[in-house]
Amino acid sequence: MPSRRKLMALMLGFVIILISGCSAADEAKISSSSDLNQAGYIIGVPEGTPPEEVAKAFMPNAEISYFTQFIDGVAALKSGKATAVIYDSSGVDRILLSNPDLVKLPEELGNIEIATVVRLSDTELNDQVNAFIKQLHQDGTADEMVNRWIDNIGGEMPDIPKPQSPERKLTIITNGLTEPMNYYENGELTGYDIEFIKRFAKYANFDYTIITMDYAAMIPALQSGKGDIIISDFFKTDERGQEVLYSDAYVVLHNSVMVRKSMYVGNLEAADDTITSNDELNGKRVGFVTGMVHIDNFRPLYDAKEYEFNDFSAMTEALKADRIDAMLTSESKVAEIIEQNPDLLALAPYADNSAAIGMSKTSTELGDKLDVAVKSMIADGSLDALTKKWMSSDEAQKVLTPVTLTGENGTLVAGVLGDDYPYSYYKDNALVGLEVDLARILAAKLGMNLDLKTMDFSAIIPSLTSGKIDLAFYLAYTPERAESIRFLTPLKSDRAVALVKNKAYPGSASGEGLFLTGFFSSLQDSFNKTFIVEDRYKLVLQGLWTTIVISMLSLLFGSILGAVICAMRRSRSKILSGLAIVYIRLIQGVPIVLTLMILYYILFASVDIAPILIAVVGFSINFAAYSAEIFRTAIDATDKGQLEAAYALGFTRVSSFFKVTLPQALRHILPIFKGEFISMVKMTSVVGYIAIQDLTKMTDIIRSRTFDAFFPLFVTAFIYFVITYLFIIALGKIEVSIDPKRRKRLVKGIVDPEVSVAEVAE
Amino acid sequence: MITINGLSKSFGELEVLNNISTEIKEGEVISIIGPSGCGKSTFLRCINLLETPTSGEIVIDGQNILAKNADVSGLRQKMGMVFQSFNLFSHLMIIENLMLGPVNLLKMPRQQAYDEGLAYLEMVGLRSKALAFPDELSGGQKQRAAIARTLAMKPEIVLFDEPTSALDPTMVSEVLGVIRKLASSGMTMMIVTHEMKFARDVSSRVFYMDEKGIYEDGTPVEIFDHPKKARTRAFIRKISSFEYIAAGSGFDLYELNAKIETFLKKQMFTDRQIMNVQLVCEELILAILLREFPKTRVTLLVEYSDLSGEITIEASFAGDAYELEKAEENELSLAIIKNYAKSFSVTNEADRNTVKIII
Repeated sequence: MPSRRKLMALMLGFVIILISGCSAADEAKISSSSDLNQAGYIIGVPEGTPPEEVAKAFMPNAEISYFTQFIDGVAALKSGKATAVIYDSSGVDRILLSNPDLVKLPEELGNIEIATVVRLSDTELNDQVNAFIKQLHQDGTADEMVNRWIDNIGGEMPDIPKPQSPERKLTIITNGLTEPMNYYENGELTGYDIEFIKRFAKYANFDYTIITMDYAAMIPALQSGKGDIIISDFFKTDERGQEVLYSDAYVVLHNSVMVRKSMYVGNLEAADDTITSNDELNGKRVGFVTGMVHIDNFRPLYDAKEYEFNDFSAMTEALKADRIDAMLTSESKVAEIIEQNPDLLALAPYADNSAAIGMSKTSTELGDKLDVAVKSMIADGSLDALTKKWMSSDEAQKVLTPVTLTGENGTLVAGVLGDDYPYSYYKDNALVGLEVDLARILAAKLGMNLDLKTMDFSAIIPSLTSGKIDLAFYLAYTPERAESIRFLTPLKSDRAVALVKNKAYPGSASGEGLFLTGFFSSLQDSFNKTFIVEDRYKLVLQGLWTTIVISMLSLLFGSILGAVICAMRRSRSKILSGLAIVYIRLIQGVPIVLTLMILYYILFASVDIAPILIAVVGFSINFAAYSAEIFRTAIDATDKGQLEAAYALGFTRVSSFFKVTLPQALRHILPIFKGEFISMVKMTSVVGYIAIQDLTKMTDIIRSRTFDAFFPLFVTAFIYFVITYLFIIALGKIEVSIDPKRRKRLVKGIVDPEVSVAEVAE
Repeated sequence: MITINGLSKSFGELEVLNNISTEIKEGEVISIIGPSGCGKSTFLRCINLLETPTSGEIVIDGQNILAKNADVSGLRQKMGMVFQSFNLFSHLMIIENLMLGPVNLLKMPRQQAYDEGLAYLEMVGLRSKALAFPDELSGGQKQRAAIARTLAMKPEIVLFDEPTSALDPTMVSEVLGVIRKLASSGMTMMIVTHEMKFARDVSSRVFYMDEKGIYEDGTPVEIFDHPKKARTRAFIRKISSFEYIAAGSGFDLYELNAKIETFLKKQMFTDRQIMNVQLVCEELILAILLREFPKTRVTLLVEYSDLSGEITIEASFAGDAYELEKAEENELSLAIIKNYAKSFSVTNEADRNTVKIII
């Protein structure tokens, strides 16, 4: 145990050194892109793209280094391997949101045209795309899309169904790791490109499948017919224009240069430009959480750039990292937020954010009566008690308060959603909930009968104004709504507040602090982002499953094929053994990645089978070459004399092999076999090249969303370590079971009290 | 029982056996002797087709096993084979080694195979090792277990291919004891061996193999005591003698002693007798001859006679006549030699001195 603990400490220390050692001390001396034109500086760009041209044109003295995945470029930048990274503005903006240690240089160096790519011969498809792009720009959809995906964060995919009776089916190539153009959210591909694909499919009436791959693999995949069109934030260049056909640009982005903040000397933050009033929020970047009412209240009052976030913590991080200037939340939460983030400031509440009973403006008499009843319930605490009852976790408590509905003063009609736990929902086929209970109590107080109507939320306000219902509960107050309906005394009062960063707060500019505390809290944050948010652990599990399936099937088929190759190799026929030798040398001499790509792009190019099967074929072929040699060595290592003894007893060649050679060979085979299998499991991490989402690829997908360059790498390495370790244990068990010395000395099917183990032991 | 007609075997260009014809009758115990590389083992292995003869026919119970449609595996079941290197199945316990054939080939119930296996192990004295693995046994035990495995198949004939050659000398007798017991039970056997004394005692018939065939065929007395043919005579003489050349006073005495020991051990001499011979040789060569003539080459011949049980030590070297008995400094050594020697003589013929001592 102590040694294990020591090992853990050692490993942790290693990780810390890796993480902390990555960023060398930087000198702040870069303020514009021309400062980057210096020998010794390394500029990261994707190969053969406008950013590369920019680097060559503006920074001829600097060294250029290439990456295929943007996130890898970011990792290089963060770890000090690159001085700057040039990429399209949309990607850079996203990266900045979650990487407070990076900044974008102010100038934008020319345009990047994003276009689709088809084979040279596919002019018809290209014409169709161009016509479609033209239409998108004419009817304003393109602007909508830019607004949805590029100018704002966390856009939601509109519902665009696939065509009902498609004329044909296209395979579309995309990357899937390039936010905001194409990326995974909740396990689904989304982003600008994906919306483009959906709209184009509808426009051109075709069905489609989307396959994801590395940028480097896209052109070969297109040319070999694995895919029909690339729609993947693909930068248009003249050079490639001779091999493939580009459409017109469907989006135009800019080249943006990103450097580490520690090297930047520009005017990033003025000394104290802390926002102090709500009015200053006009024109600023304001964040809000999807689905909350705050932005609805905010929008009519101020004109700001909106940034939508999926969760609160990401928004807080963005604010602290100066990616947004303010964030909207509820006054009731402010105290807690500021306690945790002392560098934030709350502005004065900008709007009433309370929830109240909404009534038609016309029925004032009923409204007044209800208001009195509500006020009395607030005053005597019964509303609080009621709220607590329905909000508690004790289901048994949640029964409707018994009331007598006399109906002498008519009927009260209330609108509820019916699927809004714990406000109104069905339990044992009866409508219950806080709103239901409250409605019954109020109706009883007024001496009325009660009629509950369940309806969609979107129908509530129109129903109130048209008099279809008398009231609805817990409506959030907005000035807009207040114009058409009457809000009674709030059942729950709160106000909307904008939080801003206190620039005067000491230490808020830099992220220094206790190193370890920061390390562990960022570890926790990384863990959260990598696994918990959007249920990303499901992606990891999916990838893990793919890795295991490929490994196990390849083990099975590779061993069978290996046995066949081994038999051929040992055959007396010169042709058979020659073929086997050629096979083994050939496969052993070609990197597995190339074997896979040859299978995928050439041999199986026109066959429509799942890439995962191609991977199984590839790894089986590869594993067979190695296992055949292992089998052969093991068989050769078994004693020929024993084989002769078996022949002499009268066994045939075949049964001698199974009775004598095989059981002994297995013992020689397993230790090497185990190692070979483990290295195959790890080698499967290259299947991402042929559009398979295995464990490694899934990590890339997650990395592309969280922009956390390092944590997912360590986690993935750890997962590989664990699964290979488990495989080693499992195979070790088999190894023990076939070792005669370790089995029990019992003769199968024999009863003999005379001979006991004790007699042998002496 | 087995008739062999015109059996020949070549390995590529090299012909090993040429046109052998003989007949083996039931109950015969045949020892096959001959110089190394004369094809003894190949002949034995041809009989159960571990080597495929190039031509000829082998008829067993009226069936030519070299015919194309012959049931080779079936015939092998009737013919047991014991190998020089035991060849026990290392992944199976001893009793399982014995059961493998009967259960799988004779379709014997496991319990019966087990019970019979134990009986055979008892016969070779290894019942207590039934649940041991082969590598837990000594060489002699392994070979006895291998014999039991062969017997478990109830063969009509057992072929032994140098059964004691790979054994430590101390373990040879336990294996020979088992084979002897088997011979006396009337089992038909063929034994390729270098144990001449054993061959002489146990066999009813001896094949002397040389010149790619059975050179001489006869009873043990005929072959060992009155060999008719020249090569047989030479071989019999050679196996009962041992030659060593001591080149000058720097010769390897320990090598000589070791060789004397190996040779005499084979002839079943006791340790004391062996020591006596070693002592005589050492005194004669080192203390007398090489002291006087440090640069001469002394040829030593040690010969054993099966009939009289005597050992003759003969040392000869080139040179003028040397009357060693007259030299004063030889007195002590001569006294030691004469203490063991039955007779002692010195002769000089054609410029060669020869000292002959009989013990």
